[in-house]
Amino acid sequence: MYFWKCWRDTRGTLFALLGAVLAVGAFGAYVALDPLGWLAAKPLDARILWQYSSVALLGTMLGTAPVAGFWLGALGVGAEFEKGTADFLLTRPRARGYFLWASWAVGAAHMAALVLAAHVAQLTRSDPRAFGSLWVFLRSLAALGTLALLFYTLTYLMTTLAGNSRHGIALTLGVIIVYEGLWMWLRFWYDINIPFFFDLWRAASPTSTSSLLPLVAGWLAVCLALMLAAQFRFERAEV
Amino acid sequence: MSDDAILTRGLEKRYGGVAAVNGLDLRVPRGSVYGFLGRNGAGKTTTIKMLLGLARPSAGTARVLGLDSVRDRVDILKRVAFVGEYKALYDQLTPAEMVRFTRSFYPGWSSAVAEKCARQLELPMQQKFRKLSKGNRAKVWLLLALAQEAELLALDEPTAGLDPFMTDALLKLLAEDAAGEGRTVFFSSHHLAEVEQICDWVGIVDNGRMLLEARLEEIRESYRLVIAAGNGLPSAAAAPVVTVARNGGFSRYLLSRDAEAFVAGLRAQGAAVTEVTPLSLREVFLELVRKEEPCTSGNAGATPAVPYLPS
Repeated sequence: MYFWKCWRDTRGTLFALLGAVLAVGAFGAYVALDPLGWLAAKPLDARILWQYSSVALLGTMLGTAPVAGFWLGALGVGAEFEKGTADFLLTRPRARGYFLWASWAVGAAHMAALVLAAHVAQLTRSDPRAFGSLWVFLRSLAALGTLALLFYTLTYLMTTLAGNSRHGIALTLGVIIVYEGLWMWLRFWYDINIPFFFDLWRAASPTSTSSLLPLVAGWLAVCLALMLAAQFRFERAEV
Repeated sequence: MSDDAILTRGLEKRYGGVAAVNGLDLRVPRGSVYGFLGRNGAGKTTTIKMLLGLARPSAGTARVLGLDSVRDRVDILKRVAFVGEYKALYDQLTPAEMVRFTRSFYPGWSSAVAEKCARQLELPMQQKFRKLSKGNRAKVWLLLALAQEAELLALDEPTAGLDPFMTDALLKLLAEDAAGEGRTVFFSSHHLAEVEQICDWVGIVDNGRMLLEARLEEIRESYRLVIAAGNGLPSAAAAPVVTVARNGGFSRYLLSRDAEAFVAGLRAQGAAVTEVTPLSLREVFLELVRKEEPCTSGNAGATPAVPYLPS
């Protein structure tokens, strides 16, 4: 039943985000197919504008899908402390780890659905280079899915640590900025390359030749470590 | 099987340098309705949190239904129903959905009790929790706790903020459905009247320490306030003296029993005993937690000419 409760809590967010994806996808499909011939009747510069708008919107949507992880991560079990419901939940006879992982799993399923929907919407792109083959589609799906999961899990951990959604998001952004600064500092001053999450984004590019599997596996391991840290904290949290 | 539903020894909880609970010894007999009394900030809520694993003790032990409160947290929660202080639940859910959600955790859940409570309390089961009044929120918590058919009900100020009518309805339900079934009810409050209404045991706590633990009947029958004037009177709080305070030439004793023998002893020492008064729970409570109000001869609470000096 806790899965059901988590679904109840987050389904509104999921439907809103899926609705946005659907709307952008429908727009892309309309521009690509032009079923009523309205676009074909327009002058060339107007047609180009419509085409570019469609490509830009669909591309942005793909790129920002992982950002939904901030939102969903902040709705995790850590938010129970902020809402004052932690004393109710944590006096139910289940291991605390169950609540943590159940809530995370529901959010992760939401993230998977969003990233998949954003990719499917890309198929309407009139640019044939977008997903030239199933292999490119799957590479992009794996890379962006992992990036989305990473942002989601990081926000989930921070919300659990802070016991507050807004603080969780703020901490997540802080961690990302600090890590990015560290990455740049090491790279440009000492010529040391540490893993950087946007490597996944670059690897998802159709023109990328870098190997994706080690990156995905490495960042999934980081997600697992973040969740174990969240569990460690949550099991010791006092209400 | 232990005869005690709750047993704590030297229980402590410190937040930094502040002791919220400070060496608490508590014993709640099985089947009792136990009123856990104390002023705001006395440590009642922190104690309940430690009993249910919501906070970790800094020192000491707590056993609930014979189980260790830290090690056996989940096993304890299977057998204990809880009503929290703030009565927050999921805003988006209706009471009917809360019932569905909660019953999934308890194999012994009684739908009949849930339905009966909902009917008796006139709860709007299809209204979202966020739209419910404070009183109805408290009722939802109580319904969820009672329908668990738990061995122990731990209620943290269940009537806080409720009007007298609501309070009466909740207490009635509690007395009928929980205490009547032989369950243990552990009930924290600072409203003495409601404790007197349903409890058979009371524990009075202040500054995180147990000041008094006794049967309510015993308090009514045996507890006495004795005020005496004289020199060289006993100043130690040894049984049957629960507390002793000196104020100028007056000594003020709270006795748990044997008041007549104690008074005879005082008179034998040449003291002038000015008052021997039976006490209500309220008076015992005030006598124990009194910090500043001074008293001399006369009724409890009378204003003296000189400051009150604790012994």
